[in-house]
This record gives sequence, structure tokens and C-alpha cells, in this order.
Amino acid sequence: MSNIQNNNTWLHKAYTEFSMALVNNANLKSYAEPLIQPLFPLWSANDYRAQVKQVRSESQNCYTLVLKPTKKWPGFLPGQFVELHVIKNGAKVSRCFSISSAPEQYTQFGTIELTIRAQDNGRITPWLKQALNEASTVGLSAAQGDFIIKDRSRPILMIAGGSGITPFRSYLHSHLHSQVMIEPTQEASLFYYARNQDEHLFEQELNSISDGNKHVTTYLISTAEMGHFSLEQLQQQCPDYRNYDIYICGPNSMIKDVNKVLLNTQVNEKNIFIERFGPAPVDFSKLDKAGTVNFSQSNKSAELGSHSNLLDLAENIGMQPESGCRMGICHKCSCRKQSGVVYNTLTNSYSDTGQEDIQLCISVPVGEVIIEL
Amino acid sequence: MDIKMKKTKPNAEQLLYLEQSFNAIRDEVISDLGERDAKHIHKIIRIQRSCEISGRILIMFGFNPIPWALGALLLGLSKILETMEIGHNVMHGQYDWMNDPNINSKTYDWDTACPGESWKETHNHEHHTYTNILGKDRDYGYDLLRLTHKEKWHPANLFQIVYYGLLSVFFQWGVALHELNFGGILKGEVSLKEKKPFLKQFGRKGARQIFKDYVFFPLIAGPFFLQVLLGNIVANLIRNLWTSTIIFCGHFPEEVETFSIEECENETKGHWYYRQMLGSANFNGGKLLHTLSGNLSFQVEHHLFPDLPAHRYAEISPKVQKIAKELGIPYHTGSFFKQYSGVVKRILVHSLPEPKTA
Repeated sequence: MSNIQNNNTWLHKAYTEFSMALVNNANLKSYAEPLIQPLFPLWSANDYRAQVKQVRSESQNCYTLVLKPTKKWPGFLPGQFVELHVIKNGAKVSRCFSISSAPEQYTQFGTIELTIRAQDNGRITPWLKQALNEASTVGLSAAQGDFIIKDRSRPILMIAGGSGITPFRSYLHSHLHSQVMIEPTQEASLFYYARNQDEHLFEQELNSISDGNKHVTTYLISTAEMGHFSLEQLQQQCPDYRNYDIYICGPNSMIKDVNKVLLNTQVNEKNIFIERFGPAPVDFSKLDKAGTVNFSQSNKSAELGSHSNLLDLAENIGMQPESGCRMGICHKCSCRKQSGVVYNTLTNSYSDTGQEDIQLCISVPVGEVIIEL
Repeated sequence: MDIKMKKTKPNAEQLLYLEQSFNAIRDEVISDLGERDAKHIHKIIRIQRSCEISGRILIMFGFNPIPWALGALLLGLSKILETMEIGHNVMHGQYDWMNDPNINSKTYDWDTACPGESWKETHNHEHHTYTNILGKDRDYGYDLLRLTHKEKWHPANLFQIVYYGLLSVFFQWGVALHELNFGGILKGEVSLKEKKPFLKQFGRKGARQIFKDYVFFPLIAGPFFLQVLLGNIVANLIRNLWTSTIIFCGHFPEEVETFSIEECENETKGHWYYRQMLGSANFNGGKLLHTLSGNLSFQVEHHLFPDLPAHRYAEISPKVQKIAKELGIPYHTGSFFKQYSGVVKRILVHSLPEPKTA
């Protein structure tokens, strides 16, 4: 998230100490940010920033954001994602999106594309399309993630579901342009599943890529007509799939099914690479307030059981999180939630699904929650 | 004075009604939090930083007394805003919902000698949970002043108006050393050893503050070392006197009540609200006075809802007063002058032992 390198050189330590003494913040620039950012919205102390160039509809419920990051942004490899930071009603919200364009487009035009599905119960994704326009600026993390091509000398098989096509669009465009991706003589095959034909994103684009390159084949499969992924489909279109590196991106249920089929046919687990979506929006009407918690730093997990809140639960499994009033007023037990939904017993409301601070003593996990503790 | 007859305490049913009514006020604000609040805190931060930067420049380059004094005043003003409307309120978690690491109670540290971590323990947790419970809320008189006849008189109390004056002058250091619990150490209840981690924290933070105002900025002024040093001393003094005055007006005016530990055992949220109302006092004034006091001029509302953005207290005050009136619970308020003279009077009155009554 931060572009300040986390190095421990004495110079960096001295700077931090000096900055702490002068402005009680580890970065002097953060002190100046509230004065500078209103004048120069692309300037930022810790984040990278980007200018929105275009908001383009792709289908009924998908759209693409074309962004131009500032020069400091360090670039990316096909398959990586970024965290997008926007301010919604005064509060900063973050969501992760795979980059759907190729690095070559970034080098040439300085732009990247994020293709986003407006989730049915989503608080952010449908709003984002309305809220952003060509005058907007957004926050951006450095590119992250290791869903990148692991071995350039092997043929690849890409299996996409729904908006899981985004990293593969980046793969394929990059493959057309250069040798960064895989060697041009290696085969690249795409199996792209969507409910019906209308829901296939970038249909023309994908077809023209495979038409123009004899090593690239794309199969656009509508599950309404042809069913979900099966071994028969695979054997029919790509009989030597055991020689391929297999990359999968899509909804969790699809990943689970595909992975099971592949492992049953003795595909080596080492040749399967998976990218999962973040937590899907929750339909609050169907929730019960019991969930499981993973404490990421102490590597512990637990179920809510009879405990009334996350603080009780954490203490019960032998952790000693900082705490205070235990009634939601002092904020001593605040800590970072990485993902998942919690129910706030003080405000009787549900949290967002993304990263934010929560108070343990008044939070009840809903579904699966990851806490940095 | 606390010798007067206490009003009859609300019964369980009334306390439940109090709890529900105040929860409803809170919920209404929470569901309305948004851009307006973010704009407010951003604006205050911009004003504070502009004051600090221009103040420091004027102190350094104002070559005659008038711009120098203006500079010291601006720096003092910046420190007041930073301590009260920004630091105190941000560290209460009033803006945590903004999800901004620079305006977050977890990470924020303020421009005073008191380490943020220590403040969150002694103030947010101890003082706000156990408000005005004698023996539990060490903010009550700061182990230094006797403010109620419920506490035993000691000859040292004779001079407590002097201690109060000194505490105000060095207020940031008094606040910083609060966690040390000097009273407890003298009585042998607390060992110095267990305070070691705190002392380390305090040393670090105190050193940073001294470095900034009394070493770094005077030094870079070169030949103007003394005028910068003096300007910074004056600015800190302005802030110390002001914040001390505001804090004392919040809990020590004449009519504010205290509680015993037994009274508050297993208390309900309703009783907690009730105690916060009796234990705090407001003063009225204009918008500027409210902002400079970090809206602690609405100390009652602040104690009821410590983590609601403080600029909202003025808006919810009429609702709080209405409910208090319905239940016959006192709502302490008065002019700034009345509240402050009440504080001074209370310090003076309790510096003497009570006359023995037959």
C-alpha cells in the first residue's frame, strides 16, 4: 500500500524519528497532505494516485475503468491486481481488482484498465460506476499478487468464469505484443465460462486475438447451453492438457469444481495456479450472526460458539488483545479487519466486506472473517 | 456543592428509558455520519497546520515584538486546535469510520508531551468508564486537589490553589505523567518498577516534544535562537493554560457530583449514562469558543457519546436536555465565567477542612 520502502537503514530510521519529533507522524509528507491535496489531487504522501480517463460499459452489469496512474506508480505484470481506494460519503473504501489490460498499454499510453462487475448486493461496485467520471482521481496500491506466468517455456491453459476473465485478458493482450508472457511458439488456450452468450465480456476482442494468432485458441462456453466445466470438454478441445500449466480464475464454487476434476485426472497440483475473488457481497437477509474468525498474525482460528463478541472469543482461545471498557466507547480494542463482515452490536449494523478497523468488544463475526491480530 | 440534597435517583424503569432514548440519539448520528463530518475535520486540520506554519515563520522572522507576538499567538492557537478539536477527538475514535490512517485513534499521536498510548489508557478507558467514581477515576482532582468533602482533608490541601496554578502552567507535563500514578507510588500501592514501560514511552515522547520546540526550531533560527525559544515557550504556555481551564470546567464546577465504587457495581448502561450526566458540566458560548475547547464545552454530551464527532454535540444537545428534563435529571450548564469561578471556588473551599458540625 505504501510507496515508502520498508527499509531499516539508519537513514530511514533517522528520518522517521525526526518526522515523529516534528509532526508526530512517521512521514513528514503526511503532515502536508491535507494542505497540498486539495490543490493537487494527484499528490499523495503514502498512496499512489490515478486519474480516471474513461468509464466504459462492457455489458449490462460490467464496466471498465481506464486509469492513468501518476509517474511514481511502479507498473505491473499480467495477472496482478491493484487495490483501488475511493472516498464514499467521507469514508475511505478499498476494493481489489485484477488489471484487465496489458503492461504494453501502460508503457505506451500510461493507462491501465480495471474491469468490474457491479455486484448484485454490492455497496461499492454499482456505486463506483455512477460516482466516477473523467474528472475523478482515485487512490491506487502498487500492483500485487502472484497470479503471473510462472514458466514462460510451457504452454498454458486458462480457465475463466464470469468476470474472472480479467487477468487472462491481460495475459492475452500481452502475449500479442511481446515475449514477456510466454514464448510465442507455446500454445495458449482459454476456456471462458459464462451463464449465457450476453455475459461473455470482450467476446469480439478475444475472438480476433485467436483468429490472428495460430498458437492462441479461445473457447467461449455458455453454461446455460453446454453446462459447467467437465473433463469431456477439456479432453475434446485440449487433449494434451496434462502438459499444460493451468491457470484458473473465477467464483470460488467454480474453482473448487474445476480443481477437483483436474486433480482426479492426475494433473500435477504443482501445475495448477489459482486466483480467487475477494469476499462476495453478503445478502444480509439470509444471515445468521455466527461465523468463523481467522486471526492472521497469531495463526489461530475459532468459531463464535457461545461467545458474545470477538474480544471474548479471542481471549477464550488464549490471545491477549489490547482492550479497555468492553462497551464500545474507548476504542482500545480496535484492530484491523482484513476481510469479511462483522455485525456491530452497538450500532446494530453490518460492516463493509473490505479492510477497515473494527472494535472487537462490540463485533460479532458474520460468515468468515479475517482479523489482523 | 455536593453537600446539598441529592435528587431522587431514577428507578430501574426510568434508567432503561434513559438508556433507550440516548441509544436512539446515538444511532441517529451514527447513521448520518459522512461527508459533512469528514469535511469538518479536514477543515480544522487545514486551519491548524496553516496556523502552525505561519506562526513558526512569524516567530522566526518577525523582527519586532508585534509580529513575534502574533506568531506566538498563532502557534498557541495551532496547539490548542491540535490538542482539543483534533488530537483529543481523533484519539477517541470519533473519526475511525473514515478509515484514514492519519485520522485514526489507533495511530494518531498528538502534539503534547503525553504519549498517545498512555492517554488512551488513562483517559479513554479509565476516566471515561469510571467518570467521577472516587478511588477509580484519578482524573478527579488528579491526586493533587481535594474537591469534595468525601475525601479526607490533609494540611497539604491548604495550598492547593498554588498547585492548581502550577499544574495549569505545566499542564501537558501533568497530563503526560498522569499514568505514573505518583499518589499511588507515594502510598506504596504501585511500584515504580511496574511503571517502567510507561516511563520509557514518556521519555521518548517528552524528548521529542522538547527537541522540536526548544532545540530544533530555535537552532535553525541561528542568531534568533532566543526569540524562537521564547516564542515557543509562550505558545506552549497559552495552550497549557487554555486546555487546563477547559478540562477543569468539564468536571469540577460546583454542582458536579461524585460517586462511590459501591454505587456503580454492576451498573447498567442506563446508570452509566445517568452518572455521566451528573459527573459532567457544560458551558455555553459561541461557535469559536466551542471549537477552541474541542467542543468539550459540551462535556455532558461528550461523556454520553465520547466517540461521536464532537462538532455534532451542539446539534444533539437539545435532545439530551429534553430527555434529562423528562426524567428530572440535572443538566449542568452555565456561562463560561460561572463555571470557571465555580471551579476556583471549589478548589478554595476544599483546601480547608469542613467545620465540625454538632
